[in-house]
Amino acid sequence: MKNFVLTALILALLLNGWLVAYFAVPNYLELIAIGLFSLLIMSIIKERYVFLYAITVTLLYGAYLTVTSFGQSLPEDMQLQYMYTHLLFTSFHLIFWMLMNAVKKIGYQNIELQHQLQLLQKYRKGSQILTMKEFKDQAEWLLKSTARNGKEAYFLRIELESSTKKTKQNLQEMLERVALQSIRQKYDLVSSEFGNIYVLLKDTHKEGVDIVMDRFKENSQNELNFITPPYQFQQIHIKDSQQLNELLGTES
Amino acid sequence: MTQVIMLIMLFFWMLLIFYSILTISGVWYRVRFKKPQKLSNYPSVALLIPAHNEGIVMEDTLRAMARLKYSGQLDIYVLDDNSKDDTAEIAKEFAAVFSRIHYIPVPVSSPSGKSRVLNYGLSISESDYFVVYDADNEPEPDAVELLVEVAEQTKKAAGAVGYVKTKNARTNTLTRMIGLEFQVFQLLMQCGRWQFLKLGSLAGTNMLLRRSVLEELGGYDVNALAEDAELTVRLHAKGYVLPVVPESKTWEQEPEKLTTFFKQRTRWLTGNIYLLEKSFKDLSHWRGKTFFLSLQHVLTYLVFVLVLLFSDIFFIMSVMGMELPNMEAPLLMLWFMSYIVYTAQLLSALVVDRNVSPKNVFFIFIMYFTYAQLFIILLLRSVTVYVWSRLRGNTIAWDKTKRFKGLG
Repeated sequence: MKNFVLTALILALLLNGWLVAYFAVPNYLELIAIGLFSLLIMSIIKERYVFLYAITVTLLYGAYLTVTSFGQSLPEDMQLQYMYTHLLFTSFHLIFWMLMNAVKKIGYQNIELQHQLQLLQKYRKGSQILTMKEFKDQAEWLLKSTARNGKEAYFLRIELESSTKKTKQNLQEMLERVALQSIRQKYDLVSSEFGNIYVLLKDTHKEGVDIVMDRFKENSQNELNFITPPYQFQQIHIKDSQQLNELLGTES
Repeated sequence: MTQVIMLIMLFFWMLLIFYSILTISGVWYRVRFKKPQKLSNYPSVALLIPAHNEGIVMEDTLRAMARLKYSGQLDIYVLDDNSKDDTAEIAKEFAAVFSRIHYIPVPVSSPSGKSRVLNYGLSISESDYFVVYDADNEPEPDAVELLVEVAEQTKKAAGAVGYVKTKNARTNTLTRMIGLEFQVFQLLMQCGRWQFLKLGSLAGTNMLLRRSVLEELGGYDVNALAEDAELTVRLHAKGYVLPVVPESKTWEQEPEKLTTFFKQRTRWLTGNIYLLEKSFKDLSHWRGKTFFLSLQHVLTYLVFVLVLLFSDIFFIMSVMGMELPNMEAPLLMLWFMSYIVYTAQLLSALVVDRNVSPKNVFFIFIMYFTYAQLFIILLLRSVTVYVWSRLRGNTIAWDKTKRFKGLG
């Protein structure tokens, strides 16, 4: 249906332009010039002003034709010609407005759908790493339940240290995989941003965090050639989701 | 004769230009309108509903009133003007349940009408502001709060006016056309006047006023049939402004039958003729901003209809092959432009109100030839009624619009 409407509007616009040229209505050259100018203006201004522009030029052009009719004391047949000219001018602007409206509506729907998709996505593309939004949402539940059970939760930040530009992306992907292997599956949470990997460890204590860090080091050493690991750990005892959001806020 | 016609043409031009500017200003105001900021303290408001035999709509009205959300003190008064139907019964039922709804019987006196009832409502209530709703109105929950927020944040505001939408627009051709007309005159022209001239006009419903301002003006004029229009002029003459709040919406019934429509509009037009007469006698109606209000009255209620009449006469003459008066004016072009401006207003109203549909667009293209023509008959009828009652020294009785049941 949308394709049909767009096609119909484009055809109507072309037909309108053709009618102006074919019938060579009075002042048709200036009509075409204004039409082209309007196409440009209506394409670049904000959507909410497009109709305002269309209706303003339509009324102004009508006023111009009426003043000309007054000034030149035009006979009735010429006035009729002016009326046809104005009708073509008006229909051209209104059809283009409808076209812009339809195109921009599709654009807005697309942006909205992308936004909705982002909200629905749990994992980053092609990995089991949680999206940042999902990480924060799940962390809220996780921290509430930890607090109610009288247990502790720890936030572990793994910061990648400078590496060559060419290898940094792959290094991060490899370390993300290592992080997923080093945590308790379906229990702890992992997310990441470029240059950082975040792990939230539930119902644990300081010794438990050290175990995870050792496991991470061990697993990464099997894959890397570095003597000194190309990352640094930072562990923080987390009490509530607000504290976590502040930490993530300062990170990102 | 030619000179008279030329004079009319001059007014015709003024009208076209004036309405074209208002249309563009109205669209400009609507696309840029932002909701007002919240207040730290909300003043008290008395909501007045004049009611005379409104049983058919009262339940729906009070249901909507009970849903109103207001962050300050809000008291709703049903002002029962000697109803003989079940208006009192319904209002009392709501008043028994909801603490902020009150049923008030208004003592019988003369002259009858909305102005007297409103004056009584003001005498029995206490509040910083009062807001008026007709008895068939169903305001949206945030309607009153929005009016108050804008009134409090606008310098020299006497109150604020909202938007009146048609509840039964889809019932038949007449209600659809009234609905479209309201979109232009209740919304687009209101917004345009406010944007361009800082003028708002009271719509008779969904309108908020500061109590102290009305007290300063001496209350409602009990002889005015179009009390809202009359009060608007007095407010502006005192230097107050009335901001327009398009987001504050109420839904109202419009006449579903031509006879009801003629009765209602005759009352409105007669009221405006009364106002015209008053403005010709009282020079304060032509000072400052009030000049534009009075001018608009003359243009809308006199010149527009005369121009319409002349354009019809010329049209019939040319169809019958009769020779048109010899004038140095492009009559055809002027007639065409009046159609374009009228239709542009309607189309703009549809666009800013986001209810463009093939059916509505079809109606706006034919309204100039159908609905607009009714105003010639209406003006002739109203002038006759007014002149006749003036000659006989009678007061024109206030006459309530008939309500309908079962609306969508």
